[in-house]
Amino acid sequence: MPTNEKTKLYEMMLLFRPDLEEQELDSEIKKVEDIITSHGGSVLNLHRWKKRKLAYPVKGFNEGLYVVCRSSASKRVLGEIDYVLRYNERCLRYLLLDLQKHPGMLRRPSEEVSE
Amino acid sequence: MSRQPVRPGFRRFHRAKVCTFCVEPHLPIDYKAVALLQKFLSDRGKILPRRRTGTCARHQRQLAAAIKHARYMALLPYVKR
Repeated sequence: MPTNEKTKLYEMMLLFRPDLEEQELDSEIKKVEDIITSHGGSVLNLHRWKKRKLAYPVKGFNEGLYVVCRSSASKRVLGEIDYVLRYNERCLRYLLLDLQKHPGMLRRPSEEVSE
Repeated sequence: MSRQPVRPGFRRFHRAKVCTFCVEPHLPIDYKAVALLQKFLSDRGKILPRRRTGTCARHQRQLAAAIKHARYMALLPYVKR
């Protein structure tokens, strides 16, 4: 895979169904990680939040499993991940952010993520 | 909405407001920091105007974006009843 594309810093937040087994969540996370690494990107950190109550019901669920991941990747990875998650029934919501476009989020080292 | 008429001899006091994020340059404007974002929401869950919070224009824009991301991810409600 050519890796001469410009890499950017991205943060993604994934929201999964609360009834997923531990292994199922693992495999979903693995899928996303594989997409990033197979395109020459790298996962910088990955946080799993404990099961959290949602502010409003999403697809009939009142709770959800959040995963937050920062990675450096090329732009094409974003499209891939978007495609995979869009048709993934286990994923309720996902958010992919280009951190360069959100300077407010870079005002602190990325390790100290709240929650 | 009409403002209450100012009583004669009564001065409306107001403290000069300063932008929270200008005062604390390391405080992130992050959609994940729900507790922080909540301070900039009304009890109905609406984004408070700059005139209420004193946030500067640049940080208000970043803040509004963060709140909207948090809402989309169901970290914050769109409406509170």
